[in-house]
Amino acid sequence: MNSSANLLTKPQLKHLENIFHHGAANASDAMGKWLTVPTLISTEAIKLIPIDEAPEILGTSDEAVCFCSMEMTGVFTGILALVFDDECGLSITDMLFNYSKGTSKEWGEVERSAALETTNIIGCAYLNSLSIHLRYSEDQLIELIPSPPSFQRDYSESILQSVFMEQALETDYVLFAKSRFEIFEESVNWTLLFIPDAPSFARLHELLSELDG
Amino acid sequence: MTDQYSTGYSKKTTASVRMGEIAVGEENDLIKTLLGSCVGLTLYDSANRIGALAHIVLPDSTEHDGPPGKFADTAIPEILRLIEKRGGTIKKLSAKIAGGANMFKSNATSGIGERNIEAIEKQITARGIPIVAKHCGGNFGRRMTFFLGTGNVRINIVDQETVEI
Repeated sequence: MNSSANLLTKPQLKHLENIFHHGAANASDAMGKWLTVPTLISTEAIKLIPIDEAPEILGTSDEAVCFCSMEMTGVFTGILALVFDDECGLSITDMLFNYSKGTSKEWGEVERSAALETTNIIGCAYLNSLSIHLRYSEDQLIELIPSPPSFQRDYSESILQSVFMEQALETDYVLFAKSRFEIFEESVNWTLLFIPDAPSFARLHELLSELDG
Repeated sequence: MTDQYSTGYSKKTTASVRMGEIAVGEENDLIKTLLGSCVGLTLYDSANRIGALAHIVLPDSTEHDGPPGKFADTAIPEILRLIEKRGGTIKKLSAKIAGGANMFKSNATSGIGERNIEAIEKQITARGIPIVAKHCGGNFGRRMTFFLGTGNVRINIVDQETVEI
């Protein structure tokens, strides 16, 4: 079990925050090119919280959310997910096909594909950047391999509970990075979550200690 | 509902139970929780209309810290204690279980949902308490609502019909 003794220190969290800023910037560029709209993704929070609080990081609404997730393999394992409500998720299709806002109203095959491909593009850009900036040395990159994205529409607490459940077996605290989105300089209800699992949390601790050293 | 692990609400109201919590209530109270891989357990004394809902996270408390409601092996004795304290009778209890979904491939690999359900069933049946309804498994979340006036449990699932167990 992770005790407070081996949680990340404030300088380590700050270091991690800088790395995630690079990831968000890279994802912003990729998303702007994909959707052909001005897009800004910025890191809102990197937090270590008690696992019992973790399912509520997206709020406690009874409304369903769309959760497009990629499972990471490689040096770090865990989940990267793009989360949005129905209206925001469906707007991806409108933007991609130059439909007027609100044209797409239901989650059909095209709408799901649009959301999944967007997740794929943003997720890969984000992970590529993390791979470069978390590397052990100039010529030794960190390997981060995402799975194909999958689509779920469910209660956010139920989904996150399941994400964090695995970690509850090994740790009392969880680490997550949360990013927010602006499109045409307006905030939209999209969230990008990076959630390393418990073994990765330990590896991240080791890696950041080496970088500090 | 002022027991230690309840969520601080007064009589005849609605309570939301988070991971690892237990809430006890009586007639006309309503207790709800949201479940993914975790398991919701209700115990109900229909004669006295007293019951409790626990949101159980893990099967076993060994090598883990946390409140009694978090683990199957500690949650059941604690629920029984709280129900008796409220005036309920253990011999009159019946149980209902929901949740334990496998929402991700990694959940399916570890089988944590199934392990929780098995651990709870073992604890309940060892005490001679009948399990009268189950709504478990699948790959979807559940909103579980426990009506203390009737002992009914309502299960809401996104894009599916509501189920009463």
